[in-house]
Amino acid sequence: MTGNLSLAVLGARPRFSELLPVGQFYWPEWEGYENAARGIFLRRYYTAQRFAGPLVVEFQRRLQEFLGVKHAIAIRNATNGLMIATHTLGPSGKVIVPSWTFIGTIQSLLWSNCQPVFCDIDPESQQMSLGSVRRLLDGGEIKGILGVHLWGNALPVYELEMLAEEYGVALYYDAAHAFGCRVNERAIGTFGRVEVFSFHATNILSTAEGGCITTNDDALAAKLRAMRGDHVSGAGVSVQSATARMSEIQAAIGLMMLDDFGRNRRNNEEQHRSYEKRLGDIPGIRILKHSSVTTSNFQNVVGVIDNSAFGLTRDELLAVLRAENVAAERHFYPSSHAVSPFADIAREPGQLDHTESAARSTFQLPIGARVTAGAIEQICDIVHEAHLHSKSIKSALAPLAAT
Amino acid sequence: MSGLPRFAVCGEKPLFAEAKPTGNLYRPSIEKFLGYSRVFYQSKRYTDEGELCRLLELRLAEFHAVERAICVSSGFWGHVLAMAALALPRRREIITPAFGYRRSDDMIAWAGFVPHFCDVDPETLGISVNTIKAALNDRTALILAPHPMVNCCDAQGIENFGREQGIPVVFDSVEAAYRDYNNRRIGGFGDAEVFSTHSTKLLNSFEGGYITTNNGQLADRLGHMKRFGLVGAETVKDGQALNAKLNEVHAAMALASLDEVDDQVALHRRKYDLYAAGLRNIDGLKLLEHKESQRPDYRLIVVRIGASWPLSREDTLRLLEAENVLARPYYSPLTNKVVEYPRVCPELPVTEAIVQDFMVLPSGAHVSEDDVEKIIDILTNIRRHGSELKLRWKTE
Repeated sequence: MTGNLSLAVLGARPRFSELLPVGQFYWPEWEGYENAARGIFLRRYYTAQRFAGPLVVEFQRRLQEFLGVKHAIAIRNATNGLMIATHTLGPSGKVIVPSWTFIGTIQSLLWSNCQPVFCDIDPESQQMSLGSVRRLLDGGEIKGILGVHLWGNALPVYELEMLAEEYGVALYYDAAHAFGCRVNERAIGTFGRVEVFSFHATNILSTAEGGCITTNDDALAAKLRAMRGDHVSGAGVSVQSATARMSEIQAAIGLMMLDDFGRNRRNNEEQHRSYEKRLGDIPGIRILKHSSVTTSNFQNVVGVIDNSAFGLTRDELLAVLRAENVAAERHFYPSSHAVSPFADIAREPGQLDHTESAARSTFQLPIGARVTAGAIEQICDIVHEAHLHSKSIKSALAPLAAT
Repeated sequence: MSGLPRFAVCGEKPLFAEAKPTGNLYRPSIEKFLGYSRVFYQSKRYTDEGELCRLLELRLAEFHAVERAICVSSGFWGHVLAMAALALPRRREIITPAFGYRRSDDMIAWAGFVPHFCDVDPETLGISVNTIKAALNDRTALILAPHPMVNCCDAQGIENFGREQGIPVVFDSVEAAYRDYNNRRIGGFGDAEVFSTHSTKLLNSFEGGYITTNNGQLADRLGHMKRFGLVGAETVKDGQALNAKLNEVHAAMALASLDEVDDQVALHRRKYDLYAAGLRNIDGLKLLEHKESQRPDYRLIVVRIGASWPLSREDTLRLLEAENVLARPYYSPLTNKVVEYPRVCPELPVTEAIVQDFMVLPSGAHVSEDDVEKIIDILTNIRRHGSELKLRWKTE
């Protein structure tokens, strides 16, 4: 037998006995969870009943303090948050948004009669390209910009703010990946008209599902809160309410995760650095660096592959990793602009060149609570070996690709 | 001073130190809830269709005797998805009663349609084939039929009518989860039925809801639509989608509540019987009786205020609130709301005639049998001293 057999794709046993998923999956210790549950059962205050519950109120207060923002409004999930934000800001028309984002960002626009206009990304950082945004603004009829901070990094917020001001359009952000990130000591969550965080289990701060909307605008905050659905509207015009309340148990989990935030961020940073170090020398692999933020939450390890230098395509590398039970992912796949009904939106030729290239070459590796230092070593070894044995892997995978 | 008994509205201490609400706020066994929670502590899977969510869907399908149940983040978004999935193409109006849930028009607006309000039947307080017919036109995309708080609307008749006309029917069965109609379980009528498991409802999952249907294809589609249209990790089947997933923590709570639902109904029955016995002796208030043939949960206590009752409903509610008895009006018609989106609001004579007649009295887990006796006592005192009270308010 040859040494090639160390890889599962070539017939060896998988390195991991259990599937290792991509996602943070930080979660409170059992004791804290049990205590919180007992407290809620004692109070019988399960969720907003006429008024937001005590734990939701406390969680929001702590979030405001942590982010240095006037209003943090806890919600059921980030998509609900974006839908409410879009509706409240009322751009109802064309909104610039990157295609290179989770599909939920784009879908949130549809429910408020907005049409996404896709901008391209910067090939280095994979954040929205300012040049592309400006070109689309020049095209006219734009009502808003929905910026997306990706990968524990941030958009060039100041430049984008100037653009939005220059063209007089509403600017707000999907900050699902960016909780705890800072730009020059100013927290993400304080930029634009509103920002929307996700507390889905795959992000650094988890409430299983969940999120919050942040703003410094008092009038806007009152509207957003009314739309969340925990109050009965009084006199006057009722808002088009939604149901997006966060429950007390979610808030309890969020409070504990906020206590653990510093520790989890440090853990992410160590893991991220370990990946950078071990994968840095492999030809054809580039790990995305953080450019706009001064503090990152390091919640995503994102690799970009150069086929010819590495010897395998992105999809071939992922097949190698999956055979080892590493659920590395092509993220944002298929791209938003390739999916119905968004595929029908007219585009200029070349409008999304960098997005399309990123969609072919980008992958995410596991980082967070379910990952150990040993696991990272193994994963990096697999990638290294995949490079060394790329020829035999290609021929092993070829019959699969043909079917 | 007159011989008025002690009313908080006249400055006395309220009867209850703690508010007595109408919402259920059912507390299942904490050990059961923690037991289910251990499942996701083991699997480390906290959402995205984990084991508990799948188990809950099986258990709910069994509970309602239907093919499929789809858990969602709330009844509200369950409705939006059901409407979006079922409405006839190129048609804009959804028929629903104005005398119903205070956010049903908002749900319809989110789904992208125009609510067309219809009247209710004076007997059932629900919509009927006749009231639907009055609103039906060539723009009708779907019928959204809510069951009233007490007893069912004519689910069979409405289902048949929808089928004859080729108009999809969705039932809002939030208050009817335990009921039968014509010896069939609620859950299997129409094209789909939508339920809430908000803590004020029969089953408490903190927040949450579910959709039931016997249409497997529809169930699959709703399953995609509630998770961004995704099928597996990398196929997007449906662009008109959002996040309406139920997380595993909420699913654990729903399962714990579902385990005890029959015991819970027995408790409601005892309090309902106390209300019934007490209200029988109060002239001017008439309890809406839960029909035993419809397998009621006996949870909601709705009374009709008669002409001989000495106070207006609003004064009665104000007086009760001062005692920490949080009785509520039985729906306020949506036509009274001012909204920013289009609606069709025709004349609704039955709704207009009865809209001031009903109120909902406290029930659920925060209300003990002893509390029911006390509430009956206040109502008896109001009946006895109503005209004095009114006079006194006038002079103040």
